[in-house]
Amino acid sequence: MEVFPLRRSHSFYSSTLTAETGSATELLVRYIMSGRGRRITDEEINELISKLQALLPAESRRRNAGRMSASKLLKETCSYIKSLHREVDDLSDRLAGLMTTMDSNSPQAEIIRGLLRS
Amino acid sequence: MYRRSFKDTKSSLGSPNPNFSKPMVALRFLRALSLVRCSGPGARSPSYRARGIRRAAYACMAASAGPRRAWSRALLRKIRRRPGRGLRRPRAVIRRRRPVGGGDPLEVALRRLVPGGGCMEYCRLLEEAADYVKCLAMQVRLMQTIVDSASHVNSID
Repeated sequence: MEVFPLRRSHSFYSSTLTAETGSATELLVRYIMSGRGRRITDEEINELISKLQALLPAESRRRNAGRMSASKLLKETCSYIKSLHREVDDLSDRLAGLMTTMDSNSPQAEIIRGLLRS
Repeated sequence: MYRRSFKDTKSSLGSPNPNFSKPMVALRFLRALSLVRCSGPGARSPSYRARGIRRAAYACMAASAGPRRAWSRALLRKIRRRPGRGLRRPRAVIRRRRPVGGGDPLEVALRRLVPGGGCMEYCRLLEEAADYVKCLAMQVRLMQTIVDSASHVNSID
């Protein structure tokens, strides 16, 4: 995996590291700028990127064909987590509404049977 | 009310992997749901019950993920703090509360979204985010299945 050269302009602590918006190097730059000291290899970063990219929904993956840049990946992950939170809220609202309407024992058996079938 | 359901889920915490399968999470969630139902049949507003269901969902998700994950521990801690317990156990592990110097707005946003993300290292944050997304997606699929079958049952009657 080739690493694009990092250009460092000032002293170490106030340096501005710039990199091409390729995926691994950009993530490495973000990692360094976040102030953490542990050495991290490129393979680890690639692994993390591919893992995250694999978890995003298929539509999002089709929209960004091929390798996403790190910032795009982080943005997609944030928006995906937000949408999942919204879905949990919405589904729990619907469940609360449904549970008020049904009160006997047989619907529960139906639900359990439906779950075990899927 | 809610403390009882949480103790149920907490007592069956085994090693993380065997518990993390869809039927196990489903059973746990259904048990928590039935406890939520039994406590307040008609006297509660739907929004109160929706909040209880939401907390039950997050608690089951975190309990199934196991204590190995930082996000599940942070989530359980956040849920347990609500009932207002008086006793404080001495903590063996000192949690690092130093706020991370957030220069990157995306990283800050991710830390805010993932539970327990304020004190983690960056690559740890990415790993936890990946696991959190996986569990959240599974929980959403599970709840969608429950809602579908429940509404299907209702439409039959």
